[in-house]
Amino acid sequence: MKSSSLAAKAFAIFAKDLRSEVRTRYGVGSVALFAVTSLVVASFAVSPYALESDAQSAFLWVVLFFSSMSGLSRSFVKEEETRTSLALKLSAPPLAVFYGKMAFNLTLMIAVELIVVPMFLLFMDVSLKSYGLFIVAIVLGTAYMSAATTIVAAIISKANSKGTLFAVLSFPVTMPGLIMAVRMTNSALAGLGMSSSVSEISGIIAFTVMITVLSSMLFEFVWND
Amino acid sequence: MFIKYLLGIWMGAVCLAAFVWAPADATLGEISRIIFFHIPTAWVSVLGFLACMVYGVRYLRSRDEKDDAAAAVWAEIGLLFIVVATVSGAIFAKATWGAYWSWDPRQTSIFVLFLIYMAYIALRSAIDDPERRASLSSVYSIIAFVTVPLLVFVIPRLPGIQGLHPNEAIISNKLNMDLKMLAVFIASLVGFTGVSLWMFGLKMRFVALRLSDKAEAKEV
Amino acid sequence: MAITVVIDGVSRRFGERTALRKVSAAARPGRLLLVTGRNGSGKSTLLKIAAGLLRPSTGSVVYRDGADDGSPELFSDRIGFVSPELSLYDELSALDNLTFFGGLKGVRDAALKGEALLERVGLLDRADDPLSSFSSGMKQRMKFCFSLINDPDVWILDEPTANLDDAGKELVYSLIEDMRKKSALIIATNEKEEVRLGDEVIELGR
Repeated sequence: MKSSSLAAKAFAIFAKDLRSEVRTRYGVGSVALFAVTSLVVASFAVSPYALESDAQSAFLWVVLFFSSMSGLSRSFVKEEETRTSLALKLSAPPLAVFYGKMAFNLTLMIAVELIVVPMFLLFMDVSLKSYGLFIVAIVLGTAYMSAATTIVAAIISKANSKGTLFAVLSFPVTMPGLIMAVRMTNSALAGLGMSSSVSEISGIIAFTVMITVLSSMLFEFVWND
Repeated sequence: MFIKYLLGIWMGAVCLAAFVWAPADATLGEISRIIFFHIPTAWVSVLGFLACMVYGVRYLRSRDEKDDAAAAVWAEIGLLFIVVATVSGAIFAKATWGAYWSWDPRQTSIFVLFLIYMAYIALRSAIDDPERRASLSSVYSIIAFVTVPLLVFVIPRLPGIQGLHPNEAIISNKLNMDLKMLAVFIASLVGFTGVSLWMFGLKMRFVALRLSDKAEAKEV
Repeated sequence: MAITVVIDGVSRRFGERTALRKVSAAARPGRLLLVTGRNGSGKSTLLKIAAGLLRPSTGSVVYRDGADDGSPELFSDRIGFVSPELSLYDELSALDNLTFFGGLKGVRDAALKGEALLERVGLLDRADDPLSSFSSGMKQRMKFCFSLINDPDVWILDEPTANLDDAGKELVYSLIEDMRKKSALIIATNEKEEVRLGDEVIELGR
């Protein structure tokens, strides 16, 4: 298989998922609703004061983790539930499916963050000091979460109880990334510069790459089952 | 058979020696005796986790039911030992630095290991078809395994994360450990490893019986 | 290049249950393999194994095209498959479905090819409607378009006339007549009139 055609096929699958999503808005809707609800409740409880910055950064990632749990498994689960996975299996190599779905999950997360993060800054009365590091933390944390949860989503789409199992299986795998993302966010809120988080940044990048490569190697065993 | 009795005597001797023969650590006091049990059980739980992953890889290559069964057995053994390691560690922590749990990096990693074992077992119970269960849980054990080095090696080295664990003291001074302590410690490490292997062998004999029963039922 | 499908001693177990026991057969252009047998005799399982969608527990399926022989996975772009277990995307239009799958299978001008196929099965006027608005018979016709988008050299049909009216059945028979000369065909069915189509008929589960 030529890599160019693999990329084209992955993109076709990504575009198909995006199109279905734009039409139904199922994923973004449920994810954003969860995120907004929890943000509003927390800000209501805390107001008129603001949480400490470490509590704020932990809270942001709790919201992002659980809201992604409510939406990221959708693209695989839907293929199984509507029994379209067979047609996809007949038409595309597993790697194209994996990368297409991962790109879709990443896009979904980014779309949600475009809503949630500004709301977080606003409602939680966050005094953000290092914008650069904050953005890096969000981007890398998101990349790690989408990379680590895509194969978990594929696994649970074949299991009987899909809902809670996704979070149960995802948490241990995403926890290292979450810890680093929380620390980076915390440094950003505290006004420490990029240089304060070099080891977190390099660590999370290395592990995002590693888990992506490993998942793409193992995906075939899940998909062709 | 013989091995079973040998192990029994060995472990009995280790327990006795740990409380009676070996001296208590000069600075930590009597509580130091817990390391004779805490570290070996923690070691076995990591070993079980490694074995579970290795058998997962083997299953994906061989598609042999026995490899999958072996992976599941190691997960169960690992889970059992991790409970012992966590509880003994928490007691030790309370006695030495005042809190049962304080998210020391080692505590974090053992906690995540515990979560992975639970998730692995939950996944297995959520799939009916044995072949599908085998390949999906194998993949999960491999994926989960790569997060462990991140927890064990990277996160504790992040600046600002304070390790409370006395392991540095113990590991770097191991050779300075009292000779009797060291002997008991190593004997316990060997003993617990032996116990886990014996448990594994026992379970696998049971698995083999079940598989051959199934094969016979199919022939009829 | 024509492909011969060789099924050699294939068995399949699902856990404790044996779905298929030592089946051997072959299909090639001009020699249509027809599989029949009561419900639950393993017809669908055999077809999925033949298409490379399922691993056999023992035995093998080999595709031979003279040059490089190999497992079905290597020839996946040259397989067409119709089955009751197959579904296309409800939320996409008929033509979008065919363009999407055609593109994945590396078909040039998948849209044009898709339109031609829709015309052949009489759905061209519904090309831009989402499949969710289609009846089950129309969806069955769509599955034929899906399976033919890549001009398959191996065409595998599981209960091809399910959900179809008489006109639909006639359409399927004429498609089969078109394809049987140039492609290896494997069909699973229990309809008496279709069993006659087979050059080789195997009955499972006896």
